[in-house]
Amino acid sequence: MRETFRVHMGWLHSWVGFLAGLVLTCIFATGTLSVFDKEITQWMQPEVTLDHPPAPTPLALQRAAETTMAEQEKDLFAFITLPSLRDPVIRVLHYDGHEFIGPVLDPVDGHIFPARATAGGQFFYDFHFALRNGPVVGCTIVTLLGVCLLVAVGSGIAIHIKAMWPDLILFRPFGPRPRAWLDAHLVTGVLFLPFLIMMSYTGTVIRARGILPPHPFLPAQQTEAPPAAAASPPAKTNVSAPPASAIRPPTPPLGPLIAQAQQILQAERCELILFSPTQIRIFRSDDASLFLTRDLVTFSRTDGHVISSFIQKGAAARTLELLHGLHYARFSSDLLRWLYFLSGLACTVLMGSGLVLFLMKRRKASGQKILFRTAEGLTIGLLVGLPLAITGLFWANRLLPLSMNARMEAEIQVFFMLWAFSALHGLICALRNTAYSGWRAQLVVLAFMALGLPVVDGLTHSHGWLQDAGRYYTLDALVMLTGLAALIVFQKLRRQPS
Amino acid sequence: MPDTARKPFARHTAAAVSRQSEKRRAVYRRMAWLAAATVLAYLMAHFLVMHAVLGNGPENRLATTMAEAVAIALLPLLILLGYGARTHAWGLWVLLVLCGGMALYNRIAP
Repeated sequence: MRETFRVHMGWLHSWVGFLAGLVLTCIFATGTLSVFDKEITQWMQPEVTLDHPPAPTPLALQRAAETTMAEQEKDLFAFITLPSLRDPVIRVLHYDGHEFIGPVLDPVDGHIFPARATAGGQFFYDFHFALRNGPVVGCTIVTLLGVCLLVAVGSGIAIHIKAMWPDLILFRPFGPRPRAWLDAHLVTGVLFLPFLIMMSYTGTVIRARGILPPHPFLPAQQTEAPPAAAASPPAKTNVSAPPASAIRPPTPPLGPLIAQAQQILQAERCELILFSPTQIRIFRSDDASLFLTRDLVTFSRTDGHVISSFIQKGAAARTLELLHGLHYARFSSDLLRWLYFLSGLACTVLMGSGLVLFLMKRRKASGQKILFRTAEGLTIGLLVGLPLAITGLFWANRLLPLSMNARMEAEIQVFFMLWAFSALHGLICALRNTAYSGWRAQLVVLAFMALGLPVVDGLTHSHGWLQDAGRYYTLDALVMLTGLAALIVFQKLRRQPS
Repeated sequence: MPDTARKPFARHTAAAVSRQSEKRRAVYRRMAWLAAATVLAYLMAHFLVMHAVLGNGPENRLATTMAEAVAIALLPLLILLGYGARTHAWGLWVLLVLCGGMALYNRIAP
């Protein structure tokens, strides 16, 4: 066998790409949806009306503070997010281990909307950055996969560097199957290469500490013992701490504090308000620029005087803010977020086509091996099962009773059960050597569910026909497009021999 | 079936088995090479982060985070260098030298 550079890189690209790609495709798909996480949450909570300007009244702020206190009484670390252009309501959120959830308040009179319990767009965000495995295990896996993606991208560039330009303009969708899939893989890969590199690099940097901890592994590098242990206060024993509610003073009016914070931070808007027993921290909004800032002003909770302010300065800090901001994409510009969404979609197609290509290339030589069939079953469960499960989540959001106990958990269970069924069905079909019928059956179900979602949305009367029409019909239309795409692929597969 | 008819088939099967075994060995070699390149690249990235920690102190989070950003950019590049340059067998040597140099530098002048 000739062991050339291209052969090495091809092997690396194929195997790292396929094995990591099985999970990375989910991460990219859910990340793409997370670009519109707030809009998805709004679609999933139709009881919340969004026709108010993003400026909270003093009364609404007072109610928000009271709601936050009530949440903190339940030992939840609740905080306030102020209205913004994208989400013109007040939210009192807490982290439940996966998502930020909590009551939604009207920014005018401060009444709590009777919104249905749902994980909303936060579900996709959590799946994207932690695979629903928590901030330690999940994030570390995602970060490692990010490195794998960078390796796959690097080896892909090394393979195709000489043919970058022809790859960019050559797409033969009606050519023979492997050629058409390869063209789709190459065109999306070359066209969206800067976006792919930017997103995978910035995403990996955000949680780099998970895989590159800043402490030595080798004892030879150990310096003297850190002083933290000596400086930490001695453990208190036999002293019962007063309950949190007993030491919590009343909150001063938030309106003047926000105005003061805007003045100090020279910001048009503030976004977050965090409470501690003695302090109130107000953070600048980061939806106006590419930089994800955490500039804040700290106020005393007893009388509201300014304690300190923190504004990041310097090239290094701004660089890091830019790296985070580029990945989180919290800009208020619709155009930029749509560009992110379309680029993310293209990168998901790139990965999906890569998975299909991997199987196509090996079908002749290894088609009868059990490992190949398992890989094909998993690919079916991923490429059709994931959109199916996402559509199922939207169906569950509309169909589950509003007063149901643990409604949010039920929605999420529907998602995972549908996905598990899809993967199981795909595996069974692939192992019985009827993978084509597996693809076809699941595509039909996906088309039915996706094309049926607008009907379900309409029939459940969850919102008025003209209420926030753009928001509701955009999501319905996108899901319908997914259904149409599934139908087209189904038609193409029907013409293929089994 | 006469022996004369069986011999070419047997030769063909033997060649196929030999090719299969050679291919398997090549794959094992590639995996070992990739594992070695990954370990060395990771150590190099770790030493880079440690350089920032030892040089600026653990309390300087900004410097550490910047070092992490650089290390994450270097990590895949180093893996590709270590693995891809195996044709001329110098990929791992380069990583080894870089790693050793960085470890030594951290020890001498943190």
